[in-house]
Amino acid sequence: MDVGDEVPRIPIQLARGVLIASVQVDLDDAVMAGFRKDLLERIHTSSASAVILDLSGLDTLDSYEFGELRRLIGMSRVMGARAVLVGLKAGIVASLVMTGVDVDGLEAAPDLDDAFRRLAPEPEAPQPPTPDDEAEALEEDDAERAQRAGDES
Amino acid sequence: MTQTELRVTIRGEMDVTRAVLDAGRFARDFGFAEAASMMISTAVSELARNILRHGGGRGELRLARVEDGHRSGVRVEARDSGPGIADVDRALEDHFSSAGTLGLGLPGVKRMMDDFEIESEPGEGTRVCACKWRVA
Repeated sequence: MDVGDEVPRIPIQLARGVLIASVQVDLDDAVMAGFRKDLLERIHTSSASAVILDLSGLDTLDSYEFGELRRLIGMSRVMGARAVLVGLKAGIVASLVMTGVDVDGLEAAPDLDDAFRRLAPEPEAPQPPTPDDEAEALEEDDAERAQRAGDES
Repeated sequence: MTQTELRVTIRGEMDVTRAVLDAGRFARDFGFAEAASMMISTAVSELARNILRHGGGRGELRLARVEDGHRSGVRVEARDSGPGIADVDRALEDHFSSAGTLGLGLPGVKRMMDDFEIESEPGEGTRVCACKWRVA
């Protein structure tokens, strides 16, 4: 209540080139303003290509807060980072749909693992070549060989 | 510990947050399921925010247990003495893009709750009353 009270900050961490913001407090105007500044700065300094917004700590999200969140997602996108929402509770989703807000075009995942899978498909472990690839490679070899033969003659 | 009434004076963002948390607890204590409790607290959030942004910045939110014959539920009432809403019908229109409509979140409140009433007098203020019945 006191004016001197610190505004809670949303922790943001970088993992596998993705920023993870863990929203565990109510997104009032002051929290949102700090979060917006922190997140956009982190996108800029880390060159992260994606942001995961972990909303599992939220109990309610009204149409105004959702609008603010959407705007932030839009800003992140303009900075080149795609956003995925994670951990939305069923009650929040039901309320959101009922408040009539526009949820089109939002990306969401049930948990962090799934969000990472969406964002970074197979970062390590190169895929073994498929028969098609091999056939193509052989064709190329043949073409090269034929070319070389042509050059030599 | 069970409350039958809850009043929160809305004067700032902190009051909105408190009203939302208290409303959720109030609904759960009364036996509302998780999803229904969240709808009640979201409706409270919309109404409290309206008081702050459009209702002159000051008002009161009341929650009460209500009985109606065989069913019981929660009544949410929001009052302010702000500028009022000139066109109530328009305030109840959906605002998918929020452009051209009032964007008060009222259609959402109406959908989340079972009964919904609004009275508004320009220059006098606004009173919204909404009930949600408990599924036995």
